Amino acid sequence: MATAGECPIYLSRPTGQAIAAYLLAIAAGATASYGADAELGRYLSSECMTCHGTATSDTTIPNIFGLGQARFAEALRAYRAKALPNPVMQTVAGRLNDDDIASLALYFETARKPK
Amino acid sequence: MTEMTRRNFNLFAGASLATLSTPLFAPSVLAQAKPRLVVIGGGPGGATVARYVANESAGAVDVTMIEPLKNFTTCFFSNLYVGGFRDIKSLRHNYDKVRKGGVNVVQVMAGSIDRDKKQVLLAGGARVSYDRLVIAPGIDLKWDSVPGYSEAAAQIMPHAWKPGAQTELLVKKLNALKDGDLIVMVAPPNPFRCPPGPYERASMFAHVLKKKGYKKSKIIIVDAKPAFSKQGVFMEGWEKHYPGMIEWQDPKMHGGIKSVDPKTGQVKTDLATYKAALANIIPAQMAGKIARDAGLADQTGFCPIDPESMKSKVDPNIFVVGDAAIPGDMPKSAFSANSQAKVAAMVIRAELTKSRAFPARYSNTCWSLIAPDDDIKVGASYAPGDGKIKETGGSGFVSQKNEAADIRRQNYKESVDWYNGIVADVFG
Repeated sequence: MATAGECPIYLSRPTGQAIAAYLLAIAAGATASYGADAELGRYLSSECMTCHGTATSDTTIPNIFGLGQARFAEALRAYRAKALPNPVMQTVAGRLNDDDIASLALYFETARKPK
Repeated sequence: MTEMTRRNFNLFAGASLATLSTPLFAPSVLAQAKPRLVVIGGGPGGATVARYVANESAGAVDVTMIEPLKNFTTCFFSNLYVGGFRDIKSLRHNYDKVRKGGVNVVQVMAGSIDRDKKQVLLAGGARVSYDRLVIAPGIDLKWDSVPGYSEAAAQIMPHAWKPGAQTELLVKKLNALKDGDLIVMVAPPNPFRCPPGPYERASMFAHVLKKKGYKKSKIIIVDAKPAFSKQGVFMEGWEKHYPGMIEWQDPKMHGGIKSVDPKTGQVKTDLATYKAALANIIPAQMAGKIARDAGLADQTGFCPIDPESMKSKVDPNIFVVGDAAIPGDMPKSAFSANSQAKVAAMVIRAELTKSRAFPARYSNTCWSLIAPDDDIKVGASYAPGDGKIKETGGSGFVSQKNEAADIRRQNYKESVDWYNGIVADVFG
């Protein structure tokens, strides 16, 4: 949080976002995906929390925290193509573009499940 | 332009250990009074907004939630309590984690809103000032929409469309029925809270009676509308599980609901007069009183909103989420309320901390249990369009007739997981 004593670095929004996304991706040990946007991923993830927020390995709704970016993105693309069943997920994925999917994959790779 | 401060730049650089529960929206508030969000209503709409704004602004916004109940009983899933699939304690949630998340929870009734002064007047006289206000009061019942019905009559002919004592009264009356007793349900006109709800409830009535071995009992649904949500699959399920037990009457058949009489248990239509051992009267509905008194509702009794933000069309400092709002193509449901709340929270956080906003998007899924392991669902995604919250073309889905039992069983398990997820999302 910025306070009166700090000196902000002013970056243009695209540059700031691109750097943030790249650093997050590198820190997560994955290849950065073009278009992966950490803030967008966080916003989009709020829809996922309703069902996936308390999921475990024993629940019907799966735990999606900590999945690798590639695996996460592949699953969403499969739902989007209706190659995987479950109409709820087909509907969710159906309105996500590739940047949305990359952003969500980035978010869920490092996000912690709420306690 | 989003300011990238040195502090949150370092947060991103150290992200190998960071979790993204660290807020990304570093606010640019510099040593001034915190902006204030007040939320009226601690249900799936209001509590979600309060928690999300508190979490995502990391203390930069002062969040107060006003809710008169110490414990909230969810209306959603209360039908499963009616059917004996869970106990009422499992539907009750407190606000301890909401408080721990940085929300100031005030247990009092909000009395009225002074929109000019941007203050909420609480019962007892205290005033709370706001920069942004969220109103999520749920519904009130239009007692006079069913002639002879009233708040007093509901103590004998429960609606149980607001949870808690009414739900327990309904269950008490259901469990006291004898074989051959008649249940009459009056189902409301559109728009109302939870479109499949009355029909799931009728299914639960039938399940309880069937489980007792009753062979002569009957449930008549006198409907104010010509069709209902998931009608085809509900009726298929009733035929399969409860043949001859549930009779649905549309307005063409019954000719109009004439009156109900709590003293005699009579429900009178143009077609017939029924003596109901249990009369479940679900009247027409409107937005909670505080929203209407504040001038936020239109002639429908519900509150028009801007689909990009959930802001009231009447006052740009006020957001209306959940059942009190006019949700376009979305149904009135807890899922919808929680979804709308996240859009409102995003806009409020962006405005009050001068941080990034995103395009609004919404979704809903409604699950309904017909019989053990036979659960059906309907849903869609939505976005602003044509001046309302509009269903995204091709996104809608609904359970189909003749579906495999496995799918219906899976639906039920999914719904239970959803319930656990959404109450954690709403109440922490």
